[in-house]
Amino acid sequence: MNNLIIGQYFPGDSYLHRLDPRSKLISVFILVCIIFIANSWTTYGMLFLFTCISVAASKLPLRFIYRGLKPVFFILLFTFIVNVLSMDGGKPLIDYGVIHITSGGLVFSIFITLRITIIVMITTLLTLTTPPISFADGIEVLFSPLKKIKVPVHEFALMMSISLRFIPTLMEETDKIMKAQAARGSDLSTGPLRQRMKAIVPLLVPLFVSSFKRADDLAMAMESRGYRGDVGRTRFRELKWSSSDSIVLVLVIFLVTALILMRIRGI
Amino acid sequence: MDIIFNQLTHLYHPKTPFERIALKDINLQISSQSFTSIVGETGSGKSTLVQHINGLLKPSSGSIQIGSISIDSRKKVSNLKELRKQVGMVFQYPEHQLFEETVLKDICFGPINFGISEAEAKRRARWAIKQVGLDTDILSRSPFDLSGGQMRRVAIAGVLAIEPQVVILDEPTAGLDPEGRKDIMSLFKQLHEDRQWTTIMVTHSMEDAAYYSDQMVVMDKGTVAMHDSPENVFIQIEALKKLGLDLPQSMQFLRLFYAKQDLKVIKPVFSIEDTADEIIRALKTVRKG
Amino acid sequence: MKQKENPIIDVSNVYYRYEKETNWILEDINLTVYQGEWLAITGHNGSGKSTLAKCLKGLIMPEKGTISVLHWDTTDKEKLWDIRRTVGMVFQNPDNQFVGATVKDDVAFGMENSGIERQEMLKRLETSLKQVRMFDYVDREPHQLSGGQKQRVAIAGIIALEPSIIILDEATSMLDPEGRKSVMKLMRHLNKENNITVISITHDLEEVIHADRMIVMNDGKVIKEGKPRDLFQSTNDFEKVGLDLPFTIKLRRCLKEKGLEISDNALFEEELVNELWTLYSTN
Repeated sequence: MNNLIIGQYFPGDSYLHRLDPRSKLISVFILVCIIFIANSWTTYGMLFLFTCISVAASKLPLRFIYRGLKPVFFILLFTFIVNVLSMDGGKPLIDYGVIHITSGGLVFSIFITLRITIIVMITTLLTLTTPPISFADGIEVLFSPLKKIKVPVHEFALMMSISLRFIPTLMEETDKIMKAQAARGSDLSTGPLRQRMKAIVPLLVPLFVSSFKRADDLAMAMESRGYRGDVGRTRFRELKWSSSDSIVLVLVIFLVTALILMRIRGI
Repeated sequence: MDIIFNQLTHLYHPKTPFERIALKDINLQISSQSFTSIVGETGSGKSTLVQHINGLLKPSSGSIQIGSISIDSRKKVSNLKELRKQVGMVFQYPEHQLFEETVLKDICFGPINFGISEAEAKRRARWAIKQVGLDTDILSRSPFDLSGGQMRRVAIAGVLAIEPQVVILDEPTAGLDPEGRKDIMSLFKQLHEDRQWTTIMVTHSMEDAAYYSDQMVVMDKGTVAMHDSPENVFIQIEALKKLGLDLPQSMQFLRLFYAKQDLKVIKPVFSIEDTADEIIRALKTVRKG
Repeated sequence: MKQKENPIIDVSNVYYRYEKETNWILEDINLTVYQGEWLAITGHNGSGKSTLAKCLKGLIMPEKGTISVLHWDTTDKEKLWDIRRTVGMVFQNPDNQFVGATVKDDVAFGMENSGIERQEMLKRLETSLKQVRMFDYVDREPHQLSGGQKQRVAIAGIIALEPSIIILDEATSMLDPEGRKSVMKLMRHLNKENNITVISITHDLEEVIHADRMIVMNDGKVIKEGKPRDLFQSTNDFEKVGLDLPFTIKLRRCLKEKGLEISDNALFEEELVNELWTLYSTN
């Protein structure tokens, strides 16, 4: 119960916080795609610089970015080692038994690691500066053209926002049931794995039962408040596209163009 | 078993920006075989306090002694299972903890976890189900086919079957109708006496606290504001008001009754019978005087 | 005096059960609710009172009989959404009816469903939240609120739709005494000042004594109907159906048994106190 930052959003009032979720979502999507175009020190340097500027613009304490990176640290290290050992090219640097490292392999590994780091950093930045609920709004609006081909975009966004709203409730519930079963001698934290797996059943069954009950109640309450799907509905939450959003998009497109040109020219 | 809180402090989310003091320097002794009610406004630390008694929460500093077992913030707890075997806990809405296919299996869950043989666990289950006023036929049914009131009783039977010496009740009657409430409370009172329990009950009902317990602990913002008999607690009318607590209805009525003649309540009474006697006595004295 | 003669809901010969061939949950219910009154429907858990409430709002349909709300039949699909808007309902569990991510989103939810324009929404959001005294919490998330506060937000969401009737379906039974008091105080205010008809489903007879009229249900049937003051003249029937008499009534009965010559009229503490002192100053 120590982690109450849902979807790790960190409240603030920075340039990034104020951006429309749509511009952030589009930018992150584009950046994650074009990162695969980068293939040189200059291009990677540009992307990394852009990421650092974004971090600065978010005014977030650096340890939050670090916290986002921490879980993938091992993946980073692992990718680095695997690539360093397996990629060939350039001058041999170390050649000792099975360990065989070349300069080309080393550079390539650094690039790959950098690529993952940048992707993780910008997505972390997105979730840290966007309240989960705006996130759901942004997705609903961006995907709304799909409604024409009968994709239930509205329902999907509603599902997302309701799930988000119930996360703390379910966490509380889990904590309560865990305690109730612990008081009856169930032990989730010690003993052999098989035994611990078995101890999950007394936790999961009540959680499922109560979630179904909640779902039932909630459906009744929503119907009672006049909910009938996306029919004749107005929206309370409003997304506001400001000039900053346009500027950010222009910047991102500028960056993309530059990267593509550099790739073609081989810089 | 005596329960002794010794300078116990509990912090929520320690060392994070969300850090909050839940309990502050608690010194409290709950004596063996007493029936202690814990009252206080929502958020005053009642539940946090009782969850220390069976080691569900660990003190951030200070210690707690339960019989021969002690939990100290500085030491790792080793005999949690032994402690929980002796301290049973009935949570708020305990029916939410049911999970087995049959009532029998669910009641046996606790005893078997604590190393009781299956045969003995089943014997206890049959005893426990009768204690809570249900028929043994129910043992073979699924707990999810029962009514809300029956589920509550089954969950309580699951705690009884552990045969604890200390029993913690966290608002055990929440959500029940008046009849169910009365039944459950008299059940606990009976068991408290028969099994010589040390009972600790968290409650919002001043009537239950006044009527069933012999000791009361009044919590306020994570500290113990009062610890005394219900009689001595409820006579402090002004102090309770400041703590945001009501009086039992009998006391509220007497207060209103006396206020009409600019008198103050001098003697705490809780039952209807005693209230009526007190009124008749007062009417007579006033007429004489 | 406000008028309490205009029928606003009419229930006639209503039967309901979950499945064919099972026992009736509601059996031959006849009932009229009048504009502006506070009607308490009471009975023990499982007496059918909550099922009746859901029928009144068109959430479930009776198997036999008719229910009309403001002259709309609840089985009329065309009018169903009008009925749902006119009749607001506060449910028992404060958590399971909070749909929005924050207080303001939750209050807006019903208005969004009714297709109210955003400018109008903002206006009503402010007035309704101010009425339930939750405007300072407009950006809070549900897990930061107490049960009583969540119920007040639910009420704000309902009054934003300007309903004629609010049904409280055991809306205070999961709250602490503080929350219970705040919700009841608010509802009394809405009943008196905004002339909203209140139907309160409850097993708490302490609450029922404040109602204009009450109905006692048992095993799916209405067994008593009338003004609380009249019904509480005799007391035995309530305990027979698993209800707990209000304190004043119990005390009144006990005093009488002990030989005091008091009437069967007193309903509120204040009344009994006055009666006691008058009795002994005149004697």
